[in-house]
Amino acid sequence: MSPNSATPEGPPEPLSELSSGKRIALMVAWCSFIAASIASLLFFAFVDPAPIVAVLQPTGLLPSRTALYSLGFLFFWVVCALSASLTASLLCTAPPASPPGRRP
Amino acid sequence: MSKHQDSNPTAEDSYYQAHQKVYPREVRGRFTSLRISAAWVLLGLFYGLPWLRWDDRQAILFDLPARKFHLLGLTLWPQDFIFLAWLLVIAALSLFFFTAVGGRLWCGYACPQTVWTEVFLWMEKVTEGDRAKRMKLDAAPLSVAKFARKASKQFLWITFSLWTGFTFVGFFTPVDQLARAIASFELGPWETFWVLFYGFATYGNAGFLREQVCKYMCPYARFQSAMFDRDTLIITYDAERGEPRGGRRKGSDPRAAGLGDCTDCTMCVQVCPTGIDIRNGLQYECIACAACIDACDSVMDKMGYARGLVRYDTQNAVDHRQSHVVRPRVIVYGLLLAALCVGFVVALALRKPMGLDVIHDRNTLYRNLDSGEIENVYLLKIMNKDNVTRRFAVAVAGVGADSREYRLDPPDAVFEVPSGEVFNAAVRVRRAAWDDRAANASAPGGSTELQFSIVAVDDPGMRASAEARFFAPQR
Repeated sequence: MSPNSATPEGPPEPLSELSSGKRIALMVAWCSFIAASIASLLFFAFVDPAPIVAVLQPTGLLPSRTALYSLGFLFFWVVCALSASLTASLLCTAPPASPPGRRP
Repeated sequence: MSKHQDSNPTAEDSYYQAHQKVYPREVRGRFTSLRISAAWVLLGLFYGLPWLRWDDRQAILFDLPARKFHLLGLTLWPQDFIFLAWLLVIAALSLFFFTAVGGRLWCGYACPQTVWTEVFLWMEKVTEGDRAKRMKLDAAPLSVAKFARKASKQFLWITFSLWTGFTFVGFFTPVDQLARAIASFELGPWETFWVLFYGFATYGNAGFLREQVCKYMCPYARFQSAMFDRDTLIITYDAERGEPRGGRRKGSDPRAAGLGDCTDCTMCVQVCPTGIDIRNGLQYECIACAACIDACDSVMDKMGYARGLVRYDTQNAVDHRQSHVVRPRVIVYGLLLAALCVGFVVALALRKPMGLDVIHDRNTLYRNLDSGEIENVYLLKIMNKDNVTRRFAVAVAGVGADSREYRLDPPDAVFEVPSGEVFNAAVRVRRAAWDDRAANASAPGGSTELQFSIVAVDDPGMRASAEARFFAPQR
């Protein structure tokens, strides 16, 4: 399956080394997951979504606190992932070269 | 080894066969047993704890829908958030402490990534055979036998992953309700989502990503070296003793052949879950699982050499210097950890099983009654954090030198608060507008501070109080 599987004495499992793009995607996903977990923990420790549920429940939109916790977590995850991927893209691209004539 | 194969195929064949016979593919040894025991204990806790009962409820339940956390006999509310944060700080500091003393013990023995990868590898071994067979199978063209083996592996993996997802959600939603909902196909959409989400995460992390999680995704793997010093236990290869490495006949004298103790059998490389060669020195990929120690020890035993060519040791010991277990770093981490633990226990013991908040009525500051009294209205939020229903009597009094009479309406109010609930009680408090006896002294007109207190009717030791402002005109 991978180049390693041809040799019997290589590392133990056929290692599928990831491309750098996938690696960065995994880093972004995982680190923002951790950050979003902390954010949700802090946020929902102080904010009870019950009043929102009470307002929305008759409309049939949100049945429970669990739904709001989940949506809140997913929201934090998206926001954190956005920040992490911007950081990653800045780290992974070189700044544009200074135009000639400017001081270095 | 492929090098050898290319250069000398016939010798390599016999050598390879001999190795096959002497050293079984799976590692056996002290540290492997320890790792497997740790995996059994940790997985047993994970899969078993949600089913443990305490009185008539789940013993460990982070009941998010009800906003309360049950930890054995203890129930924590959102107001007790500090305890949870405190626990997390203790966990982090323990990690620092054990890393400073024993190196990456967490990575090697306790990290979920390590533990679940171990289980998934075991399933792979059961269905596809040992490492050599797996490699052959992967290289072979698709056949019925190959498909059957691959399918059974996937079946085991997916079943186990789904069970993991289910168990995980069972820590947050009562697990018996969850099981019943699944059995009757009535699982809520979000529970379904989280079961599948965590199932998929388990499947992906333990089945496919494995060591890549440690190498590319784990923040701890990157910063753990900050806790390291020259006295931290690491997995080391004794290069002084091992080099120059090389193959030799069993029973021959390596020194006569100008060789060290390393037979270059590469067993340490073959068993490494992250695929590194420990003989190149300490690398950040090393999760300190000690599989290479067991592999090398078994080779040393067969060769009749002393164990410990690859071993747990400190950098100082490798450099023939004195190692210190007790050192400033360990003392500081240890003291901090001890202080936090003691503080946690004390705070928990002193924690009041009840709480009182007083909110002044927002609409009206005060009312002048026909009787000449001033009336204020308050909302009392009485919280019963205990595990039984309690009845609380409410009392009210002036603060400090204020000895005026404040009358509660209804008088002798007693409120029954069920376990774990917040009871909202509206009460009126009345006071004479001003006291002419002490017109300009301790009790003038105008606003004053007021103290509400509640006490459990059947347990006078259970009391709480809160202050509020009583609004009144100056004169």
